[in-house]
Amino acid sequence: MRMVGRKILIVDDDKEFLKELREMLILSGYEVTEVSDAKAVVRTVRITKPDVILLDLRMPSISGFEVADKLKSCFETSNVPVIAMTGYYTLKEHVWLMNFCGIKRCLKKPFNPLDVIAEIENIVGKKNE
Amino acid sequence: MSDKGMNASRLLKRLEYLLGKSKIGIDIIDSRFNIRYIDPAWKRIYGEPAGQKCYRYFMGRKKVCPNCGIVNALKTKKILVSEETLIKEGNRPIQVTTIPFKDENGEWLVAETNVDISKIKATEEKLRESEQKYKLLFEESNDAIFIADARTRRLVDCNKKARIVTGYSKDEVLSMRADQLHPKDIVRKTMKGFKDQVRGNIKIVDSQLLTRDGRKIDVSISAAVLNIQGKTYLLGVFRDITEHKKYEEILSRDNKVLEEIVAERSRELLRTQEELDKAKHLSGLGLLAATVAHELRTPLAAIRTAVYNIDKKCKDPAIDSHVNSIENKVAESDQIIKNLLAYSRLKPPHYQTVNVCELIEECVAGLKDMFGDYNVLVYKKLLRSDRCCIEADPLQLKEVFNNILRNAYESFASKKGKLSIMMQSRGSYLKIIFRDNGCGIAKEHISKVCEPFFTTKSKGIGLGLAICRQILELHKGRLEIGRARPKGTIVTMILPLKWVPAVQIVEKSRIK
Repeated sequence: MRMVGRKILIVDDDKEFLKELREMLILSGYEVTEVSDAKAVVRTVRITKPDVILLDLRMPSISGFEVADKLKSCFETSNVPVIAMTGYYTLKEHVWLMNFCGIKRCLKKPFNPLDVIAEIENIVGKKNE
Repeated sequence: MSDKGMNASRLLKRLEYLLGKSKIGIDIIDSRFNIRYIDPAWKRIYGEPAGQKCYRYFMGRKKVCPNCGIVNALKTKKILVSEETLIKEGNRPIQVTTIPFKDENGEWLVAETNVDISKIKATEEKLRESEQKYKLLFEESNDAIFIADARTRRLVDCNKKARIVTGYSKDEVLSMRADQLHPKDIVRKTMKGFKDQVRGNIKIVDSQLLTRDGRKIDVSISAAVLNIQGKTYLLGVFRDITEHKKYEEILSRDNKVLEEIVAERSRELLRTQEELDKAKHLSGLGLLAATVAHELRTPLAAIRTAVYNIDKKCKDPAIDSHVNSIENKVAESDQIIKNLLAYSRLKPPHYQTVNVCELIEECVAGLKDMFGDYNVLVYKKLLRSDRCCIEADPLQLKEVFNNILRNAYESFASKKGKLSIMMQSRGSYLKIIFRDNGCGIAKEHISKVCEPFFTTKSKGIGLGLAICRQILELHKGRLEIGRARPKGTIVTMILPLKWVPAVQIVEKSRIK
């Protein structure tokens, strides 16, 4: 049984993808905030206080790693779990970098939408326990 | 005094003035050595004669000078030129011209003009010195020097060194011609050089000097043309270059070795450059692969999510098959990206002992399953299993075999053909030859088939053989692809039996 009303922040520079992902998450009963500008992430997190952040690692202005690092270094945002979404990086290869930035999980594009939900539930469920 | 006397006296004054200016002394002396006249310049230096005899006045002697010019001149009645030194003036040399004459009374007198020749004497002395010096230079020179008549080529002089080196005496040399100084085989060439030197066209000729006892000495002859009293001579300085030649030989040998080393280094550099270029190409490819992977995977992710959303929103069985198709194609695209990444991130082999025969059998079986509807006769001539165990990465080798076999199968347009696999052991290498009679590779494509992204097929992105080649290179092996006769393709794999650590190779090439 899914907890309805969980707030998810999705960050990606591809707006179409963002739109479809948002639609998919809303269909699954989540409350979604979307950000396409990596620079606006920290501010948005402070305002919306999401339960989980889905973060693209490769973005034009700032990389996802940098965003994750900024979130980690800020007291208000450091506790929000981050799930990375990437087409190139894999957790295996960048385990140190991901650990360093506080990234808990990594989804490899093009992922199955059900996997996203599974990951979110996995993290939020653990947090609740 | 009469007018005439006045005139004579003025004339004398003028003469005395002129003589004084030109530094010529003049005096008149009679046969009894009395000084009849003396010019003022003498008087200024020697004082008034006051009845002194000439030998007393000029030379400070008590007796007539030995070889007195006055006595001789008066005896012969001829002009006499002699040289004297003035003792009173620190042996200043003078030239005395003694002119006998008869005065109006019929008495024989002599007039003497005295010219200072100290400067001439000094010059003569210097000349003699320098002549001696040059004579010494010539005689004591460390090089053999010969002087020959330019026209007759007869030798006219030689120095000490020339005599020592050749063993000839001076008389012998003087009876010889320049031709006789050189061995017969090179005399023509040397004499041509002689001619050129006389004409002043060239300065140095390399030749040999033939000694009295028939030895040959390597010499370089530098020449100078001398013109003495209308005759032309050639002065040849013969320098022994035996040692020089020896050094030259050593030097040229060293040079050769050096050149070889340099050439080897250049070759190494070239190889390194090639490898570097390849690496650059690969890193470029790696970057490309990473970019393509990310750029394609994000839209693929969007497509996948969109399809999910469509499926969720309209539960219509009519679109199910279409949704499935899209899902499948997205998965296929993802597979292509995976291959691309696999190629760009090919890792160093994980070495294990591999039985190549077994690996080939396994791959052939797998391919037969995959191409079930093909009728292909596979002929295998493999080595005994104990002779085909090598150190390699089994997974990477499998990838190579699969790629080559798949290519062979795909080359059978009519779905039937022959494929032979042969193994040979070649010293520290294993050779595996795959030969098919499929459609073959066009001549112009042979050199490109191993390039990444080269393909003539409708499917795939042309990485198969590029991956194969890279895997073999990682194993320090080789992949060769050629055309078979009358048709088909031959693929030759050369693999080292043992793992070759990179460091060892470097050391070997250094020892070379």
